[in-house]
Amino acid sequence: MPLVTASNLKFRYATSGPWIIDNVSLSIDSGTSVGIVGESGSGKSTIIRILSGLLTAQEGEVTVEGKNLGEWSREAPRELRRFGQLVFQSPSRSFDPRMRLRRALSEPIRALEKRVPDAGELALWISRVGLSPEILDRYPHQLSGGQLQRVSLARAMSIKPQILYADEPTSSLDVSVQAQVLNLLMALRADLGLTLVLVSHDLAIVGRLCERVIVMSRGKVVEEGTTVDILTNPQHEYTIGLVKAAKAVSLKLTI
Amino acid sequence: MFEIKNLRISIAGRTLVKIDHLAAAPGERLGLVGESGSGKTLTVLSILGLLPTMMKVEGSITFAGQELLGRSENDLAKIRGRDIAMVFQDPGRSLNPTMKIGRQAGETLRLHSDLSKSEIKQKVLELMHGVQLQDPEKLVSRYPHELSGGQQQRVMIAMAIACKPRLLIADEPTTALDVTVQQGVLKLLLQLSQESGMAMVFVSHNLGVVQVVSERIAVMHNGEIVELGPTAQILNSPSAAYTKELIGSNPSIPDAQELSRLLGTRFPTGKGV
Amino acid sequence: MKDSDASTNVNETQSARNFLIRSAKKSPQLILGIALTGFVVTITVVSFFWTPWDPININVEKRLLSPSFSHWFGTDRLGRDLLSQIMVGGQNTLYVTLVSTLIGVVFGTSLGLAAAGSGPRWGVIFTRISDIGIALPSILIALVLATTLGPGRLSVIVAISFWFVPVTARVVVGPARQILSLDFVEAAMTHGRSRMYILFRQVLPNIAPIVIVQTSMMLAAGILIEASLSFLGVGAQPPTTSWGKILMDSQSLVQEAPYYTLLPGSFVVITVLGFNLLGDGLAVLLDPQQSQKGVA
Repeated sequence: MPLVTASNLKFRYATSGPWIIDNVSLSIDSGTSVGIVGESGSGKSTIIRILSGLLTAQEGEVTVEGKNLGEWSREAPRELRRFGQLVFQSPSRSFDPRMRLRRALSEPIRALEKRVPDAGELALWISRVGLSPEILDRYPHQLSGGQLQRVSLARAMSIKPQILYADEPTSSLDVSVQAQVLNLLMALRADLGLTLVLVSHDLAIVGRLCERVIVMSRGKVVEEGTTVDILTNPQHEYTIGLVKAAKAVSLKLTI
Repeated sequence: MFEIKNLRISIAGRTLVKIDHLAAAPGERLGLVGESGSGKTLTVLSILGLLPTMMKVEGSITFAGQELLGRSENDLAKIRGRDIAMVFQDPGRSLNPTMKIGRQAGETLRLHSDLSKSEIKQKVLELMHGVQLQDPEKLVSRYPHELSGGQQQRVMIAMAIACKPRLLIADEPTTALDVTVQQGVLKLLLQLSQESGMAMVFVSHNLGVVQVVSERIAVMHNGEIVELGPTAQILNSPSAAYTKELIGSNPSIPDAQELSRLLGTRFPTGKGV
Repeated sequence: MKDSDASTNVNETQSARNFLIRSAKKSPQLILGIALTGFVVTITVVSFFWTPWDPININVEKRLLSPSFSHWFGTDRLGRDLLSQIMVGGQNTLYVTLVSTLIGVVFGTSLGLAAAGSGPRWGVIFTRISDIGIALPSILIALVLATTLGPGRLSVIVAISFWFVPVTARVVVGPARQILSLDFVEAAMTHGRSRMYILFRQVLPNIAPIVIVQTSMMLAAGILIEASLSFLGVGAQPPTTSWGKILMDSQSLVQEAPYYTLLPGSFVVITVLGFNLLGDGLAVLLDPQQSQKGVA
């Protein structure tokens, strides 16, 4: 059952520049984890911003739970935020440097539910992502990238979203920390039945976390299908090249 | 080719790098892998004497039998670019944005050789062909921002090998590039080393990338080398705990078998469907 | 219970003192700036209640006396005590610069934030308009206004503000745009925060150091412009006085009575320097990463 669908989306920044998103249609089923892969300039980061409502496409339509975004902003604009939470690539830029993490973590609840979450609630979310509540008194620059990314997850999850968009969540992290954060992501997903859209240039990560893969290049969807199909039997020329290049730098373990 | 002995790099009393011994033979391709803060970049910068002045360096680094540490700037300048060359991570930032490609690419030749202007021009075109750049005649009159990341990096490599250095140090040369472009650049580096007998030190945090080009790999952690050995050995029978951790957390593309296993366990059916 | 209260009080005052000491070490400009501006402001405030002599007491027999024990700064061309004149003159000068700066900061920052937060089309319009505003010299504007509105404090304030607003807006736009491009602004948007909230609660605090430095620059510039305008006869009209007016009166007497120019001039210099140092010092202190490392 589709949770979010996009039909014939077209988007560009300048009024006469190139189309960053060039006639893209896709659909994301409830409860699934979908990977969007592509290289620089593919539009993968832009498309999730359109799906989550941060950017508005010049042409085409996005529907969430059957209603299009226009209807949502008329009828229940705040509820729509539960379908638009993001985790960003750079943990250090994801937080207001002047806000303590306690405040940063409570922002979604404050903004959406118009209430101030109590200490217990915040502590619960922080421990859920494997951190101790004392970090809430700190400022972002006092935490490591991996820790900040966990807080970022806690922040996004605090309003119990239906779908989470993760934009290269581990690309800026050290390799040994990446696995931890990805495992956390999967655990949260399993616990809360979350729909996950993971954007990455790394096929290995997408291969391990996602059931379906959408391959983008230059603003268009080039191929999509189940992870198994895409990785073992890619059809489109670009996908074939991508899989080949990714395999080339895969660890050649003989065990 | 070079030998590092008892290297200690420290700042304000804190030791950043502690390497007892690391060496590479002429023509050998050595991979240096480690995460941020492992000291890998500092180590290679110290070979070229490019460390910030506030850092203290002790020990010995010999290149072709000659001691490099403690040499004067003038002496080192003669070696840099000619005998030892370096390629950096982000070509977009390493290239002078206000200088045309052709002029920049000829820099090392102008500095280290006696070739005339027209000879240099010719050499540059040859070099750009050598790094598999299409239409070098057109590219030489362009500015860096008009080139793609992959093209820029190839220009950097061309510049680096212009004077036929005996050692090429590449510090995260493909990290800023797309994966399809990366493949081409890695192949190029491998080819160049094999054809010219140039030794290479390839630094990266990505074990997968390092193993493509390296014959031997040194794993660094917290400023020290925790393991050193032939690539196959490091990957298949690592002895250090950190190496095992690094291998474990480096996700490889799952094959069909692994995919079906993952499907069974990792993908819970979503609640609320 | 009581013990712990007492000890926390002691700890608080101790840490407050430590904080001041650490601030002073990190930013000697701040201390010097506070000292200089504090000095001038104090003297001006005192002048509301007391001056050594009545500033408007004209006594032609006592004209142009050099500094002495009874008249610390000497007397001016009409026999009025110069120190009292300078003290009272400060009232006008400081008032003008404070009001103009306030207008400049409030409207300029708001304008700059609005421009940063709006789309490319408005951005271009904004840049062009502010270019014009900055290009027109304030002194000329003041002279024009003086002829239409009549000379006096109001004209000067309007003239200076007319220039301060676009200058501040321009200073604010760039950094504001930069902050807006950061991910945490997108995060705030995903939480449903309104544009106003983001601009004033997230962008503004992050560009606060810039605004503060700009404020101190304007306070300093305001003094200079006011003094210049009064010097040209456009500003303070008698019986109101200002440092610029005193300088105007004294300019022909530089050789006869050098103190008559040097003393008000020095006050201008001290005040301008003081505000600049204050701004520099505050900027150093307000960077949260720096201050956290220092205080924690």
